[in-house]
Amino acid sequence: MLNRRNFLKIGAAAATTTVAAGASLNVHAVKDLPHWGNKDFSPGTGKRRQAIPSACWQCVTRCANIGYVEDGRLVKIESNVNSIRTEGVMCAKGQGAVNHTYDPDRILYPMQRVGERGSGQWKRISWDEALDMVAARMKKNRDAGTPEKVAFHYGRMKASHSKTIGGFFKAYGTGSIGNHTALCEGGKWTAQELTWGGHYDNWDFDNTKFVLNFGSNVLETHTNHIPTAHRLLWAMAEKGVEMVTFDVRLSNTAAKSKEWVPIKVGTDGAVLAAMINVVMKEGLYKGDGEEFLKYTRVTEDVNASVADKVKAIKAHVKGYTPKWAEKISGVPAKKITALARQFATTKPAVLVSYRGLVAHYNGNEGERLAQLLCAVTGQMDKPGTRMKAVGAGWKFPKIPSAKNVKKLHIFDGFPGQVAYPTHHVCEMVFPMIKDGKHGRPDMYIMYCYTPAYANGNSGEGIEVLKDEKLLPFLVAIDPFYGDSTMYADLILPDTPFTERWTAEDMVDPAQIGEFYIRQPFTKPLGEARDFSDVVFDLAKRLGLDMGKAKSHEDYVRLACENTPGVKEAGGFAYMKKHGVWHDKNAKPQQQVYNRPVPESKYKAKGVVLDKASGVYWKPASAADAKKGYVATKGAYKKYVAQNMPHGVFSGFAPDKVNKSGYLELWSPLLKAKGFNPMPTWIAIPEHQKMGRDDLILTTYKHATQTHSRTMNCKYLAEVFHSNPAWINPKTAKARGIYDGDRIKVTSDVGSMVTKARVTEAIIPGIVAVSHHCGHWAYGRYASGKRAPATDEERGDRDFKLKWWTDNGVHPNWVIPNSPDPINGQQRWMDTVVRVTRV
Amino acid sequence: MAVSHLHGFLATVFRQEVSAEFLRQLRSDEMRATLEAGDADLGERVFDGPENEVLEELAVEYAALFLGPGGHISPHESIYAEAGTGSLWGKETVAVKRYVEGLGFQYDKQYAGIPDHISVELELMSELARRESVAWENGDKDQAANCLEYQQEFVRDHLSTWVYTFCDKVVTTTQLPFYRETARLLADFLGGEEEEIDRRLAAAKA
Repeated sequence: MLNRRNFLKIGAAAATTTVAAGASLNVHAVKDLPHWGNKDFSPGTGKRRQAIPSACWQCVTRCANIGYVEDGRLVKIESNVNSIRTEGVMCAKGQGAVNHTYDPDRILYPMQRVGERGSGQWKRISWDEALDMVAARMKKNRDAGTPEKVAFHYGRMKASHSKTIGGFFKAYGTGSIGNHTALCEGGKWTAQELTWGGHYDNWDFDNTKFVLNFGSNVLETHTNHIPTAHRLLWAMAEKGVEMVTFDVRLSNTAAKSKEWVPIKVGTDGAVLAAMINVVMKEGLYKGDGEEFLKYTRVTEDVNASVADKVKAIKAHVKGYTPKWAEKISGVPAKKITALARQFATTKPAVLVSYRGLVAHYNGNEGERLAQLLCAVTGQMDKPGTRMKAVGAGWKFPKIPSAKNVKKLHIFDGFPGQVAYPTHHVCEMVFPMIKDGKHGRPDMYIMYCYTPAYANGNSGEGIEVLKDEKLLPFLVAIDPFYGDSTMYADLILPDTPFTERWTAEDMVDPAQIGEFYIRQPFTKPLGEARDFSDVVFDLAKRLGLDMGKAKSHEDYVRLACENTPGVKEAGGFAYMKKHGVWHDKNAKPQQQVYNRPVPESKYKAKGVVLDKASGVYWKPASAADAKKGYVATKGAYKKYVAQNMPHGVFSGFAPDKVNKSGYLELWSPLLKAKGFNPMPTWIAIPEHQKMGRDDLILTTYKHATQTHSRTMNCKYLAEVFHSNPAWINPKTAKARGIYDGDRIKVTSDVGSMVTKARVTEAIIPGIVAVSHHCGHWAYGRYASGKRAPATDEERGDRDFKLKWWTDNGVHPNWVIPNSPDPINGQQRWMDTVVRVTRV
Repeated sequence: MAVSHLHGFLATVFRQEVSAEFLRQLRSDEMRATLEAGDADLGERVFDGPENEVLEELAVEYAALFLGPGGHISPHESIYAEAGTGSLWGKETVAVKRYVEGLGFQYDKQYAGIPDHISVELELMSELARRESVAWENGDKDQAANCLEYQQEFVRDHLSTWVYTFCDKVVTTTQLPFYRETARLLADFLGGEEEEIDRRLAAAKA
């Protein structure tokens, strides 16, 4: 009888015959088979479509994806099944990105304004003319010794884009570079930098047994959305992991949770403080918490024993009783106690927090209280808990910086306004330009940034953009005619991300680090050009050295060829073919803080011990050593190790501020700025002075939209385009408001008229309006503004398909620009408003 | 050859902003007289206004009409297709590209536009009409018929499906007689050609 062994014997023998050679197929023409998975076929021809691995950029999560191209046309986007971050999952936003590429309102040529700012009168110019114009301004300012007057303000710029574009401006000599992180989550990051150094926490849903969520709509929107959300859903559905969500609104995340705990606006910190009180009072810190406290600083004395630390925390939270928190937050004391116990005793458990906690006046302290609760329960930086995130460590080519980089001091808020603006204070840039005391740019360049729409106080934003005395020359780099771009003097047509190169690095929930690239699905449409390529041309005009790379593609190539691991896997060729790479032998990173540091390192030449902080560091001079670690500017860059009573450890190394290597919850930095050094409950001042008829306006995001940049995508706008104000029946009734009524929402900076959605899914005393909607430009789907002579009879085809007429409202007309005093985070959730029926 | 030239003229009008050279050609006595005789009143200013000012006005109007940024009248077939999605680079774009390349023509490497731009479609018609004209001159009725079959097909499947709507929008939107009249000229000419092509084809096959 023939068995498998006999078959194989025949097979081996057959190799000597000619039958093995292809008679019908020219098999030699194909060197490598297409990678398995991610297949798609044309419904018309049945042919397999070209599958190009790349990366999304709809939101900052930047998932690895695959674009399917047929006849040179991008027809579909899916997730890359080989990504360890997404594991083949993708959101609607990512799939809807095909609409970016073929948006009928895309800008395809450089355009120069010819009428009044905002009048909409333009003429096309060549790229040479456009770049000569920009270069001339840059030369003029360089020659005048004022390179800082060239201000570059970006909304989103990451990884290799950040390196080339940021590198170009620094090579030129301007440090006047703004970002928009304070609009997103900068406050959370500063709080983390003050405590555990570095920023970005990964929530290890793969290994957790309980999720305690303060104000994160993690299942709908998050800066690492799909990589975390799909893991959370899997944990809940497959392993029965429970999640409890504190939110003022029944978000879809709250709805999917085991329990939604309604809470008053901006009071999450009080509940966290009370939970710490319960943990300390009931001894739930014993064991894991005590072990973790060895690496935690909660007293001025850096050599305090664990017993002293326990005593200090107990004293600090003594007044934060559950009953006290109930009065502030509306959350029953029993509930607080029960959840504190559940979090402390379910091992491991993860504490999740986001803008519901941090986009407030007291957000910095909210996040620090979250860190303290994790510390005292030991639920930190180990599997199943809140962990320090891991991203890809590319080895990028260097671009030399100018010797003197000068900057305008308009990116960190007014003097004394924000204590530690480590991610800048984007929302105060326009008020500062208007004020003028701290300088104004001669040329203001907006890149992937729409200040009039994305910041608070849209009215003021438009006023500043229109004023040529405040902003003499305004450049917009944008693929679309955005709400701020419409006021520009010069528009450089950027490519959407579907036509770009990037070496990407967003954090990996598997705690390993995934290297991935973005490559163009198709050639840029019209004359659109990726600005990260354009800077190489500008550099030539200005005689600047951009290092070894000749273009952004070349820069990505060099990164692939130089980065250990990626290089050995096959470098650029491998990455173009597969899109993603990770080290299959790497173990998930955890607990880097408790690694002993050898004496050879902390007793090396030049390293000294700063007794006040317990930090071993390498001061640049004897004067710095005398001044001490905390008081020396940029000392954190010289950090070596942390001395602790039980040894010398790598610790929670600092990366933005001069914190010690402890998880620093007693902060000398905050003390120096007049704040309580320990994480403290702070009431929101405006909320203490509210009148009887006042309400609080809070904001949120929807799963299919980003804050400002996706409403032009037709598929996505069709799903979500209307954002009525959520209002509780009790609150509505008191104002004579019924579901569907038109209502006016007024604050000190502006007003808006919208519809009421009367629902029990929101707490009384507030209204909630989403971002995303109410564009006054950004194309036909976002703004509803039709092309000329477009009507039912003669309409463009797409307008016949656009069945909706409500394009929603924009809450930023009502929300002032107002930063958290510690970190500069824009306070999206604190605005006091009056609501009346129209 | 006149049909080919008129297609070419219209392709030039809608391809990009009016160049100084094209304006000077327009201002020739012969051209002006011909346009006026054809009831195409481009306005005095085009012929008599200061050249730089006129070029600037036409460039700004061209951007407002056909480029944006912001609301504009897209000069691309895929935006109008009844069965399409109203996006750039739709299936219709692919069909135009295939048609052009199927005939052996190639898009110029310098051409940065989208394959179904109105100027491309008119250029194709110009070339087909030119070849037809040469065939008639050579007495090659088979070749003339061949060229006409393609013209008939391309007008039926592409140009006529959207260009009338496009022209109608331009006529009712533009602030300048130049674009109003050239759009009108295009619509009228194409309408006439639809019948003329049938007639010429019948003659070629007779």
